[in-house]
Amino acid sequence: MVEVRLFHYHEGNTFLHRMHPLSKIMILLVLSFFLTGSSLVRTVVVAVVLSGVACTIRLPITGYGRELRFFFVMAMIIGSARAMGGASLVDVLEAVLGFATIVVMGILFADSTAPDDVARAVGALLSHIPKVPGYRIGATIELTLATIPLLFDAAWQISIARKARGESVWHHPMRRIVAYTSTVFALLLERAEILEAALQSRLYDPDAKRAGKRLGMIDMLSVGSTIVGVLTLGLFT
Amino acid sequence: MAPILELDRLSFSFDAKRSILSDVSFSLNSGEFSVLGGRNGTGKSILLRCIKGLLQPSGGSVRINGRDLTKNARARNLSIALVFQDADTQMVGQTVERDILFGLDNLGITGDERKQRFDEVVSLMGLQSVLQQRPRTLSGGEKRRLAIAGVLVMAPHVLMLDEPFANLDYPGIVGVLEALVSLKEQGTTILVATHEIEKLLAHADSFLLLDGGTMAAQGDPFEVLEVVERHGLRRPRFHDASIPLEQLSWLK
Repeated sequence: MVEVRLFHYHEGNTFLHRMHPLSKIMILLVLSFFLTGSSLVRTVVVAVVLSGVACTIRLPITGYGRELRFFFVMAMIIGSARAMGGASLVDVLEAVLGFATIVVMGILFADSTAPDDVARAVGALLSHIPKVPGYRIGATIELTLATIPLLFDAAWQISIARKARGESVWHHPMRRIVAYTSTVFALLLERAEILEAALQSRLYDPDAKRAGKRLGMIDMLSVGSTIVGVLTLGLFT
Repeated sequence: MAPILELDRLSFSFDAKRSILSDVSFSLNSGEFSVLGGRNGTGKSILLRCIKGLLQPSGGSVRINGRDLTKNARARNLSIALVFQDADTQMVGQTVERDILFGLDNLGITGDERKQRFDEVVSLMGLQSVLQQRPRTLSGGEKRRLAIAGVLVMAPHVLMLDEPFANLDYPGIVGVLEALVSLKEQGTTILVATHEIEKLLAHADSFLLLDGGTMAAQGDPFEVLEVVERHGLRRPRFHDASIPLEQLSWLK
């Protein structure tokens, strides 16, 4: 059985895990705007604060090796492009550190936020807009997220089965791709039929109000302190 | 007292040429634990889906608590729970807790009742320690118990399971069997479709034997066991008429 970790979410009970997903998105947006074109001092302060948060929640940084290698290359490209464009060393550092800080923010968000919590929060938010089926939209996103592992699992099972019967990647590649895709599709249809029956048997109602995380004191404190911090930094640096 | 589930001459066919089920009749009393046996392709799964309301029978009737619900698939769906064979395909929650609560969300049950139902099934199925795990990381037996918990939380009148031991190892089988026996002791009405009859008969109150879409035999498990080999099932080797069926339990 293939295990697909969607968005790298890890279960936990830290203050970041307890926060409402929309509060985290809001903080993410505020900090991203603040970092755009910010000075090196401001970027360093934000990076230090975020590193502190990462340490506090014990972010499993080693689990992100592959992604970090990719982002490292990206940071090098950004830095090199700036340097070749005649920017000063401070400007280069600013750009690289700004990019790294945004990456850390993204990792912190992905690591502490369950995708279905985001779907439910979005659904609940949209449900306040007249004539918008918010809960239905949230439930659709949630169900789509739940079915993605089925797709990966079907593809993996078929790939393994074909390899076990000696299939070569280079022998008739086009024919192989068509056969592989059609088999995955057939298996997915079969599984989708079972899932549909299972949903029906559990009286699936896309418009049902689904309990998600509630906004609490921790959200007010986090968003409030972020805004105050950003304003203070803006005024004094 | 009227049986909790009563089927009278139930038939089903996908087209006019080939009948899948014909004239299937049986009844289950409240708290009864019944095994629906039969070889592969005899129509056990189709029968469960017809009872549940996922397929509409082409003839006959389905009565639940004395009410004829043949034409009311939604009412049948509400009253009867079905656990499918492939547990992986039934999981929709990102965590075990969310998956169990899925049915309660659909029913709109909130507050104390929600908490009470949730706590009861979690404790009954022994899932306390895995509530925050992703369902796909569970063992085969745990997944099957989660699938049972997911439908049981909706408080059905009858719990039906389709091949609950498929692809399970010995500890997984024992875990599911223990869960079923606990449910039986609590008075849940259970109907289990399986070809692995030797795992269940020691605990069953009745045995329904399906062959070729018709009810070949039904009644006391001990008596029906005598004819299973004529209908493509293997009689447990260790079974001897002098040994009571209860002694053949897989549970120690």
